[in-house]
Amino acid sequence: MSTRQNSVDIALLLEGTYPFVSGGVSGWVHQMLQGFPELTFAVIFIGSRRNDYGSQKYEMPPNVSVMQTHYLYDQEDLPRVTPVKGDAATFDRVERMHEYFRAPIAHESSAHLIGELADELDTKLSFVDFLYSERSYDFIRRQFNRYSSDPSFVDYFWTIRIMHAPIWRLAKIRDGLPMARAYHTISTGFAGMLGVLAKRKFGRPLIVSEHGIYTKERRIDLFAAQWIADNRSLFERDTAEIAYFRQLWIRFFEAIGRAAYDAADQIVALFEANRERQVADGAINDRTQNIPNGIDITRFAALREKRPVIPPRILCLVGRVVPIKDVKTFIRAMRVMVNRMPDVEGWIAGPVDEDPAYADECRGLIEALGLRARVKMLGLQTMTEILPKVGLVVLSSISEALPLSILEAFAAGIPVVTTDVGSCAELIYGAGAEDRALGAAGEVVGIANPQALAEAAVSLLADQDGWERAARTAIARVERYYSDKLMFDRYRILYHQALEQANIPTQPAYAASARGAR
Amino acid sequence: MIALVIAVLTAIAIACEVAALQFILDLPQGTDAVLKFFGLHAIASIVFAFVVRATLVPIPMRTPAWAVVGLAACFSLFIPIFGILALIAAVLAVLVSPRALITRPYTSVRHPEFTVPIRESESRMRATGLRTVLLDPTLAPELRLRSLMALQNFPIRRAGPFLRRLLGDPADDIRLTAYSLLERETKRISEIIEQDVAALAVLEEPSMRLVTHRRLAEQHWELVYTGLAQADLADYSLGEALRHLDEALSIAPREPGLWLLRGRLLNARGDVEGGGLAYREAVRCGLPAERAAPWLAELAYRERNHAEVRAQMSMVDVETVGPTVGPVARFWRARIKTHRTREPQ
Repeated sequence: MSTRQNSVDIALLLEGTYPFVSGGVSGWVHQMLQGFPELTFAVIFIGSRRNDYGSQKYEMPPNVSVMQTHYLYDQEDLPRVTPVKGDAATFDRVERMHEYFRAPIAHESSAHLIGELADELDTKLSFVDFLYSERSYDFIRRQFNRYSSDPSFVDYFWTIRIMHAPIWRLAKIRDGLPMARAYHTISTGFAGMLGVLAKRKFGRPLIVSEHGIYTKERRIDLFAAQWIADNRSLFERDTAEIAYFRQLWIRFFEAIGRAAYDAADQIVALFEANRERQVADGAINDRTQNIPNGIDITRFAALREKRPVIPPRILCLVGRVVPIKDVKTFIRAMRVMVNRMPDVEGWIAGPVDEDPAYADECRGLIEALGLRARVKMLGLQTMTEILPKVGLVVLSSISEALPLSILEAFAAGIPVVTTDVGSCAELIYGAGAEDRALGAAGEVVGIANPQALAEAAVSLLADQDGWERAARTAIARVERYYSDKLMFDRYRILYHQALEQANIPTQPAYAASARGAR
Repeated sequence: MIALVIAVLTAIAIACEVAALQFILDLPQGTDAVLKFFGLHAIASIVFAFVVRATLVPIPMRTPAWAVVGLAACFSLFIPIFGILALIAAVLAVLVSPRALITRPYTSVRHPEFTVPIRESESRMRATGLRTVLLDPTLAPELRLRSLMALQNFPIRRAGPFLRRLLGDPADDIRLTAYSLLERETKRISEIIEQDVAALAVLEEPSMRLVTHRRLAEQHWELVYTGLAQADLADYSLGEALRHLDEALSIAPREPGLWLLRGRLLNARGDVEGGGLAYREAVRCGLPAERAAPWLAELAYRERNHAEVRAQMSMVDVETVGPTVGPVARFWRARIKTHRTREPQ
């Protein structure tokens, strides 16, 4: 395709979200696309396999002029087996780059190698070189002998191959990317890596926005993953040590995350704790900033009139029925609630099709706890219809960033009881001194603590004055700090800077030089 | 020497072939002549085949010998003269053609050294112990994560209190790993419960219903005992456990194990009297008195009946009970001894 024809202002690089998944990040992307009608966008979706995603959940706004979907694990497009030697100097640099990933501070002078080698994925470090060259094999063999604490070389060898192959698939995707004035990735990981490759090729600015922290989430997935082999025998196993292949995978995502931070011109977090985490993971402080989510307040403000005078004894968990939302803790809390307030009801409003096995487990738990009459799974609901009917919105998630569902509940004047994750505590109690002075818009409890969750909910529902105070605080906080106008204004500045910069042809600035200047 | 043998063989083969051709070309048209032709032609073909193998075929391709000779012999036997010429041409063509035609894409590489990799981790467990490391958020997250991994190997009843404290840890990784360890165990038990409840709906055989009710009671008790169910939820699980246990007892009213469990459930609910009755019923149904003794001793202790504690503990065999009860029993027996030695004074 001709890149000129497809030239856009911003290319959004999206991994596993918009437009094929509903909820959090996807909703945000859609909001952004609609919030900047004056800019043209390309939507580049990267997924694992086509089968893992359903149909498109959103209709593309008119300012999206290019949409591409790519799958990293769909086809085995391995090149023909060809004997090659491999370039000695290139593999030396590959080794130095890996030293940098192992100890970034000690080997900072090797940081530039990520970019350099990224430019050579079609030439000296081609897919064929990676798969079939003798140097590549020797490199893998030496690394195994030097570092692996797992005795199986065969598993090691294939782990390395499976792990790294997507890099060359990304290089292929890069070659077909539309020309954009700036590239904006909504996570690190593979999308972030594609951003690095695009920046190298087109010399245009790269913005990294993160809702959760990608490497952290991967880490947690990988700790729980059952498919990673551990071949250590009883005598070799140090119980305190994580299986070596698990460590490899974790380090791989840390490394490509670092590559994205190094290449990014601007790095955006949703709130301070995540920004600090980005800096700890290698982001340069001066390039980071917080831009919290915002919502269209007027849409929800109209609902305040519709609320009954006495808050209904209905608790609503708003979120997809997936393990990360820990719906089971909400159900268990309902058991405790029903003991205290027999007429209370629990609603679970969110799609159940994303993890059907988990949804079944939740239904089983509702049965097992004898809550069939008191807890209802409603499926996906329109928030504006459901919010006026509930007395409290509840979040029992074990991990969140800055949940839109809390902001929506606030805007509708409904207090929230939530677990202490992401920026939830900031949302309930306030972030700065001025914000905190507004008061509490609900309660915060620890994760996986149904007893505490239920007690906090009961005390809010039973205390009419306290409930009204919390509702007033909720409205004041969301109006002052979390409107979509504020969010768009902040991103407008960011996009403006990036588009300005795009007009001046520059060699991409690299992290090492920036660090050196510090 | 070999060259001479080959030369002689070649000469024989050619002679045979020429003689054979003579028979057929002289055209006497008899079966006799055809047989003679085939006889000589066959000898010539086989000898040729040996010659071709020895001279033209590259060494690595000469085995298995019978197959190579057989193939070459067939060529010249069934396609007289042209067959052998074509075979020679083919072998020569392969030998002089570019290497790429016959090299395979794989090359041999060196093996990795198959030694057991023993690597020193950068930092090992400190002397400060698991507890200190785990509960100190100022320490490096990597070190704490290692301790958390080690905690995986403890029974959940022991690890549970730590894991629950870590649910409130400021570090996300720690918090979520602790959560996933607790949740994994809860899920394991819940799955058994769910399957058994589903099974009960269709089971009719009393012996099967007994087994299922018993397992349900035990699994609900397991949630309480391990601390996975807390407060109101623990009460709920105890209630469920008792309900299933009573179902089981209605089928097997004289099963001592069921009575023992009933005692423990009632005890956990704070029903000391009911617990005592259940333990004694267990003994009446055949439970060895020394097995019920620690539980009865516990109840007696709650009621501050120390003489009864001593009496029960004296029945316990300190060598065979577990590491928790052993020292307690020893303690009370020591008191018995000192008590006794004092008594005569």
